[in-house]
This record gives sequence, C-alpha cells and structure tokens, in this order.
Amino acid sequence: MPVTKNQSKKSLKKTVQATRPQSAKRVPAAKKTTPAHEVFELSSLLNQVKLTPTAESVGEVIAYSDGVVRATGLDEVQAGEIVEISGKKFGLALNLEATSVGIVVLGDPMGIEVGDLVTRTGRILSVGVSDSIIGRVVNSSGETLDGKGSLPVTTFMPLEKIAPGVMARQSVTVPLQTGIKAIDAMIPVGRGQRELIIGDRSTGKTAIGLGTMLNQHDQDVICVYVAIGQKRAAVAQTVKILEDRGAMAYSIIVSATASDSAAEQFLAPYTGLAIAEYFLQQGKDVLIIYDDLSKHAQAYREISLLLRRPSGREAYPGDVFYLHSRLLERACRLNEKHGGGSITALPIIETQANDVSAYIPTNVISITDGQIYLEADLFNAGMKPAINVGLSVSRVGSAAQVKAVKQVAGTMKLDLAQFRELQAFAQFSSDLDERTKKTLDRGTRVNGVLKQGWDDPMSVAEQVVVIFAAVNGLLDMVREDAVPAWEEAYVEYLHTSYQQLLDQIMTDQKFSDELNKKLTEAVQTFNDLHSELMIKKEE
Amino acid sequence: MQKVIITTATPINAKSLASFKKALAQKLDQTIELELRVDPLVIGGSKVRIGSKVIDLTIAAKLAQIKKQLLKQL
Repeated sequence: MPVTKNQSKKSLKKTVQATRPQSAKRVPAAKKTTPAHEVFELSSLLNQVKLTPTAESVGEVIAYSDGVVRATGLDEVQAGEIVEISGKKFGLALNLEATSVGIVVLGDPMGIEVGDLVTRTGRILSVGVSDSIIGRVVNSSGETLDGKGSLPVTTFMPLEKIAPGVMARQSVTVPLQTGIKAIDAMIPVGRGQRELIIGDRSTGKTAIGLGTMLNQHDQDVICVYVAIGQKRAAVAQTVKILEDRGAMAYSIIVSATASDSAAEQFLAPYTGLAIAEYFLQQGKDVLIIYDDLSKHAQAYREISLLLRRPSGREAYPGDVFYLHSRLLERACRLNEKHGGGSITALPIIETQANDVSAYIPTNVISITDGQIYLEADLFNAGMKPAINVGLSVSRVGSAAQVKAVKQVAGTMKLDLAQFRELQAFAQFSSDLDERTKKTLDRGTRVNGVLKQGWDDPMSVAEQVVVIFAAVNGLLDMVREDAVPAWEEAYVEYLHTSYQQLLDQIMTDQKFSDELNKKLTEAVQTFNDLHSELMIKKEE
Repeated sequence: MQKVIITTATPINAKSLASFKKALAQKLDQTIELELRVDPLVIGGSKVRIGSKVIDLTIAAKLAQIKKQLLKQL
C-alpha cells in the first residue's frame, strides 16, 4: 500500500511539473500574439443586451406515448412550429386541437415527464447548410453522423417550402446521364425531371440510383442520397461504395435508418431536399435520390395513427398523397432569370409481389414524370438491370435526350417489344422461318448489349457506338454468349484506334452519314480481327 | 377562476405576496387560485404563470437571455 501511495504522489508531482512550464509559457505567448479583435469589451456588449419582460405562451405535457406528446396550453402555437420540452428536447407541433396540441418528439424522447413545461420557439423546421456539407453524412436535423466533426453553417434552409412557381421554371432540355444504356437510350431522364424507380425487393432499384450517382463524376451534378428506414449496415455499405469510387466528392447522404424514430424518417426527404435547394439557389444542378418513399409513407402513417388522425386506405392518412406530391413538386428546372439550376428527383418505391396498383405506388406513379419498372423475373433470368422496357416510360426526358443517342436508339424500344412478343411465341415451335430467326437473333444481341454492371456506367459516346453496332446488325454474327466480351473489347478497340470518332460524337452530339460509314467500317475491321468471338461458319 | 403560479427562489414574504395579489386582482378581474412554488434554480426574482402565459422575471431567465444575445453577437 505505501508503495502505491508513493507512486501516486510521484505521478501527481510529475503531472504538476509537466503542466507548469506549459502554462507558464502560454501566458506570455498569449499576451504577445492575441490579435486586437479577440479582446472583448464585455461591458459594451452587455449594454447592448436587451432584457424586456415578455409574456410567453407555454404549455404542459399531459401525456406521452410512442414518440408523441400531448400538451395543454400553448395558446398561440403555429402548425409545424418547433417547441421546446422542458428546455432540453425539441418537438414538432403537428396537431392543433381545441384543448390540446399533438407534438412529435424529435430525437430521443427519454426523460420527458408529465408536467414538463413546453415552450414555443417561434421557429419552423430548417436545416443548417454550407458548401462544406458536400461529402458528409447527416441525419434529418442536419447533424453530422460520419465522425468528421461538426459542420460550419452559413444558411438555414426551411424543410417545408412551396415549390417554385410556373414563371420561374423552364422545360427540361438538358439530359441527366445515368450511364446505364437501357435508361439513357430508351427511358431518358432530363435534369429537373422526376423519374420513379419502382420494383420488388432486391431487383436492383438502389443499384440504379447509385450507378447514376457514380456516373455524375464528370457531369457537374451534386448528388443527394436520402436513406429512409434502411438498415444501418446498408447505409454504411453505401457510404463505403461511394467513398471508394470517389463519388463522395460531390455527394451528400441524409440518413434516417430503421432505428431512428418515425419523425426522423418522415423528415429525412425534406431535409435532403432543403440541402438540394441550397445548391439550386446557387444555380447548380442537383440529383436527389429518395430511397425509399414506401418506408417514408409508412413512417408518416405511424405518426398519423399515433396522433389519432383518421385513417383511409391501407390505414394511410388522408394527406399521404400531398405528403409525396409537395415533396416531388419541388424538383424543378429553373429558368436563367432564377439561376438556371435544377433538381432531378429519383424516388424509389418498393412494391409487394409486383403490385403497382397498391396505394402508394399508384400515388407516386401519378406524381412523377415517368417510371423505371424493375422485374424480379427479368432479374432472375440474368437481365441486369432488370428493366421492363414495355412498362417503363419517361414523359419528358426525350426532349432532353442527346441527339446521337436518339438517332441510333430511335426504334430500339419498338424492336425490343416485337422481339419479346416473338420470343414468347417462338418458345412453342421449333420450326422458324429465316426472317423470324433473324429478328430473334437481332433481338437477343440488342438485349445482350443492354446488360450492364450497375457500377460500370458508360459515357454517351460509348453508349452510342455500342447501340449503333447492335441495332444495325453488326453484332448478328457474334456468338450469343460472347456479347459482353465483344462489347468490352470493342469499346477498348475504339478508344485506342478510333478515338477521333468518339470525340466527334461528343462534340457534334449527333450522328452524321459520314460518321455512320466510318463507324460501320470500324466495327467490321474489329469483327475481322476477333474471329474467336464470332459464330463459326458451317463449311 | 384562473390558476396562477408564482415561482421564487426563496419563500415569498408577506409584503410581496400582498402586492402580487393586489396586482393580479386588478389585471385579471377573476377569482384567483394561487399556487406558490419555491425553486432555488431561478436564483432570484419571480416567475408568474397565468394560465398558459408566463412572465419570467427571474435572474436565471435574464442570464439565459444575456447568454443567447451575447452568442448571437459573436
């Protein structure tokens, strides 16, 4: 025992000695280097402080259950106002009733007691933003979650805001390149568009969103990814993928996971949108992905039921349509007078057993400017991305499509539809005439080039040359199983030997007869060089 | 009938209480149910709550106000 006592005394002495010279040093250093503006004239500041007595409107907690506080009093509280509960917790006043107020608690509700004082703050929900939010992961209150320290705030953006008016907008004219051949060729998305991604669980919905984000690396588009009700592991994986691929350099992630409260999940898309609008104000193009709005509707249903609002179809409240329409309506393309920026929204909806006529899917389908429909059957058959071309549409994107893509892929959608029909028919008969066989062969090749790894986005020029070869029958002699290998080698070959053709497509943005001729030659030379990929001719 | 709660740091003395009662009777023109609370955390001054309105003139509230305004100036 005495030994330890000694030791502790010794160590105490040591620490005292260790700190003493430092503190001794610090004082004169501070005297020398303290700049003038760091000295405060406290008395003059205190003179400016105004202490006017005011009559504040307060209330009292009378009940708490499942994240919802019921309070009396709060006479002048506004709908959607933030209130403070016992000076430490915040809530959102959602229901104003004759004798009480329904408040949704934001954050951890532990420690709320009956009788706690509820005070008004006079603020509505907003999120603090600055340019340095890019690359960060935040929650629905705008607090950082990535352990990289707090975020400097320059502006507060309101979560709820009326969408830009008719006069501030212009039509969609600039394409948003997803880098996915099937989408860019047949279901083009324009900047400012709202394109729904819909499909069953694990059909590659998120993959399309992430693939699109990866492709924005050279497009001058800021991406916001909103994760709603997802597993934390899934969000961590998404962050990792984006970091590894360098996409966090222009992306922001808003995360409200399954373990966060329903209120946070409900607010997350609006937070993401408020962040997007901050960049929109600067005239920038923003892409926002809501993954997914089915979970968002469920979180809102939970809140509404707890607030005892009347429920309607599938127990969703009456305003669940407005919940999504006011969110998606804020996606826009502003005209030059208003900065010319845009917000492109890619909401994701998960269906149950391919049922697109359920309540939330039909709602969101009717709000958006088209949908990309993913099917489990196609996915299982190895068609990735598993896009059902027949059911997918883009109502405004074709106006923004690059002309070269439009030229080469113009009839592709129709051809594929015919091919699918023939394919179904041909399964029953073995004897096919030469023409049918040819159509089937062509269709298989076109289908083949539409297969693409989700994390392997392609530039416009690459897409054009590949689709050109497929639709013009230059792939017909390539073995069916060799199409991916052919594509890879072909693109590489063009990059090394015909870079000027790719450059020309990028600069002209259209496909001339001359280019057509040159490219046909290029494909044929390539095919001659790679006979190992071709169907062996019968002799 | 109006409920009024007066919170002070130390038990209120008879003289102050009388003046409170007089002022409240003048302002409210109703019968008053008075509740006196003692909360050392308010430091000094008094806090009067009438129904759902609070007039906070305690030292604690003033300090909080000063803190808020000073932070804003920085």
